[in-house]
Amino acid sequence: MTSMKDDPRLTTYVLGEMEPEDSKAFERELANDPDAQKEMEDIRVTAEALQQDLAAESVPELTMEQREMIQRYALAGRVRKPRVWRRSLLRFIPIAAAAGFAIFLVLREPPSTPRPVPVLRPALPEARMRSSQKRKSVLKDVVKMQSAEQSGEESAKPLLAAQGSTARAMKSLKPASVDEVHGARGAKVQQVTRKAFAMASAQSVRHDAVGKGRREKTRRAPEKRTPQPMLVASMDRAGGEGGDQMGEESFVPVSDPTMRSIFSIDVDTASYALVRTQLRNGKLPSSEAVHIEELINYFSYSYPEPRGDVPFSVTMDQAVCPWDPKLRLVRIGVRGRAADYDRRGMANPDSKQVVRETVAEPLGGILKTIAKDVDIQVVFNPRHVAAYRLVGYANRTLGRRYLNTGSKDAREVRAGHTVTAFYEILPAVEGGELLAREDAAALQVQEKTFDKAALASEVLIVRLRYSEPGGNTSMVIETPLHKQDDEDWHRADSDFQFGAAVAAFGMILRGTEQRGQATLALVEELALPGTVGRKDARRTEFLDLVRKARAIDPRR
Amino acid sequence: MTEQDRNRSAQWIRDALAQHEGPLLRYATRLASGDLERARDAVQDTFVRLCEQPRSKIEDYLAPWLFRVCRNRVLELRRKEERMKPLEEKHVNTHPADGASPAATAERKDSLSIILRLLGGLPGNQQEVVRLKFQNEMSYKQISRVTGLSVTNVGFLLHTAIRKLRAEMHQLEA
Repeated sequence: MTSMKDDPRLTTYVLGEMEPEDSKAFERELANDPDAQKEMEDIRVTAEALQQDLAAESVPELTMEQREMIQRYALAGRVRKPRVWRRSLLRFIPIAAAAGFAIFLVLREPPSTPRPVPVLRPALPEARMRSSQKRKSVLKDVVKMQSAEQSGEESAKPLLAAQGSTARAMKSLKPASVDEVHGARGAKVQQVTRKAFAMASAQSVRHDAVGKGRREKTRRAPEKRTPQPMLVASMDRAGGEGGDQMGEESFVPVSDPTMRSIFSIDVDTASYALVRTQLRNGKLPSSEAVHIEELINYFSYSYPEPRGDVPFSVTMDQAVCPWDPKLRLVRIGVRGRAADYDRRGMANPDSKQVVRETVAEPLGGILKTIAKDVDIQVVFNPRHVAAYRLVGYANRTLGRRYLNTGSKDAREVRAGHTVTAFYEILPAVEGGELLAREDAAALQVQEKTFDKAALASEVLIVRLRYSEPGGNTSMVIETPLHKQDDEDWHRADSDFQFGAAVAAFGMILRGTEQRGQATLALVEELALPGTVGRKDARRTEFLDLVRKARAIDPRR
Repeated sequence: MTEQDRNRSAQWIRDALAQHEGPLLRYATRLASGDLERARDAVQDTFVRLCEQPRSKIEDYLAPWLFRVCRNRVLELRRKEERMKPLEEKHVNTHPADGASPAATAERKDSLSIILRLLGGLPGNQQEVVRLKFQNEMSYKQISRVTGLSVTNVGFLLHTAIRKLRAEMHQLEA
C-alpha cells in the first residue's frame, strides 16, 4: 500500500476541516501509515508556526476621517440602489455639443454684480421625450422648418442654419416668457413655454442625426434613447478630445458655435493611486498613466453647500494662469446637496466642520440620489474668450469609458458629490487676435447665448441640467463667471491654488506640451497655502509626492 | 425605517468596523502589494457598501462578505492600473506574483520571522489562502466564498503551501 503522505486530506484533517463521518474512515487508514503520521505532525507544527507569526503581524488602521465617514453612512441607513464601485462623480467631457441647445430665455443680474448667481429654471428636455409619437411629430415640424431655412443658406452649414433658426424662433417667444418671471434672491426664475420645449427636443434629435449619421435609427426608436449616441457623436466632432488619439488636449477656438464642454459623470481616481505607487518606488510614472482629471478629483475642495431647493452649487474661481501669464486659469467646482441627515447635523454648530469635510470627500455621494440626467455645459463668451483648453481628459482609449457611463442610472448623482475641472482660457482681448476668427456669423450665434448686458461682463456660463430623482422635468442651473479685476494668482483662494498645483503636477508628469513654465517648485509653491493647517492627510501626502518627484528628477 | 431601526443598524456597522477594520485592512494591504493608501480606500469603500446592504442578508456571512467585497475592490483598482501601464512595465511589475515591492520586502527583512519570509516567496494565491486561514481564521468554506475558489481547491492550495514551507524550513535547518 502506498503512503498517503501527499494526500491533501492530511492538511484538511489537521486543520479540523474534515467532516466527522469522513474522519473516522480517514483515521483508520492513517493507523497503518507511519509516513503519513509523520507528515501530519509536520503539517501541525508548520500550521502552528504560521498561525503564531501571522497573528503577530502589525494591524494597520483607517484614518480618523475615513472612520467618521463610515459612521455617517451608517447613520444614513440603507439606500435604495447600492452602487459603490463607480466613484460616480461628474466628469468633464469636452464635446462639440448639440447645436440646438443654444436657447436662452434667462434674465440675469446686471453686470455690475460681481458674484456669480445661479439661475434656476425648467430646462428644455431635449433628450427625454417618452412618447415616440410625440417625437415623430416634432421631428416632422423641424424638418420642415429646416428645409425652409436651408434653402436660403449654404447647404454646407446645416448645423449653423438650424442654430440660427432656433435662435430666431426663440426670440419671438421671449416677450411671453418675460411675463412669467418671478424673482428669487436677485436671480430670475422663469418658465419656458411648451412650444419651446418641443422645439428644443426636435433640435436635439436632429443633432444626433447629423453627428452620428444615424437619423433613421434615432427616429425609429426614440424612447430607447440613452446618452451614448450623443456622447459618441459629440466626441467624434471634438476631434482630439475624445476618440482614440493619444495626443494632448489642445486649445479649442471659441469661434465655433457648436463647441462647448460638457460635464458628465464618473471621475475615477485610480490614476492617482498609480502615480503614488510609482513615485514611492522611486520612479516617475509613464505619461500614459497620468490622468490629470483623476488626480485633481482625488482631493476634496471646500465648495459651499447648495442653498434652498437647488441640489447643486457651482463655484468658480479665476486667476492669471500660474504657468503661463498669457492665459487665465478657471476652476469650476460642482457640489451636490448633502443628504438629509447632514442638514440635520448642521443644526449643531459644533458638527458643522465635520459635516462639511466628510461629505465633500470625493468618494461621497453613495447615499441617496439627489438628481438624475445630469449634464453640465460650459459656454464661453467670445467677447472675452478666444480659445479654451480643458485640463486633462487626454489619452483616452476609444471612448470606452464614456460608453460605460451611458447606462440608465449613470448620470445619477448622489448626495454630497463634488467634481472639479480646470480650464485654461486664452483671453480674446490680449491674445485673441492670434487666432483666426473668420466666421463672423458663427460668432454672432455664440454671442446670442449671452444677453446684451451680460456680454460685457460674463466670461462664461456653466449650465447644469438635471431632473429630480422622481420627476421628468429637466431643470437648469445657470451660473455665470464674471470678469474680475484682481487676477493675481498669489491672491487667489488657497483651495484654488491647491487644485492648480495638482493640475500642474499632472501636466509635468505627463510632459504636456501646454505646461508652459510649470515646474515642480511651482507646484510646491501652489500647493502649500492650501495644505498648511488643514489637517488633510491627502494633501499632506501630495506635498510629499511632489518632493519625491523632485528628488527623482530635479530638473522638472 | 424608524429611528430605532436606524440606530440599531448603525450600531451594527460600528461593531463590524471595530471587529474587522484591522484584519481587513491588513489583508487588503497585502493584496494591494503593500500600498496602504489604496488598501484604505478599498476598506472604506467596503464598509460604505456594507451600510447599503440589508443587515439580514449579510449578518450570517459578515466576515466572508467583507473580505470578498474588499478583495474585489482591490483587484478592480489593480486591474485599472494595469490597463494604464504601458506594456513593458506590465511585465516587470506583475512578475513577482502578489509579493510586496522589493523596497517593502527589504524593509521587513529584519523583523520578519523565517517562516513569513518564506511565505512571501510562495505564489500569490497560496499566500492568500494561508493568510485567510491562519491570520483570519476562516474555514475552507469561508475562504471559498471570499476567493471564489472551490473548497477542494482551497484545501489543495493550503496543503501545497504548507508542505513547501515545511520543506524549505527543513532545508534551512539542515
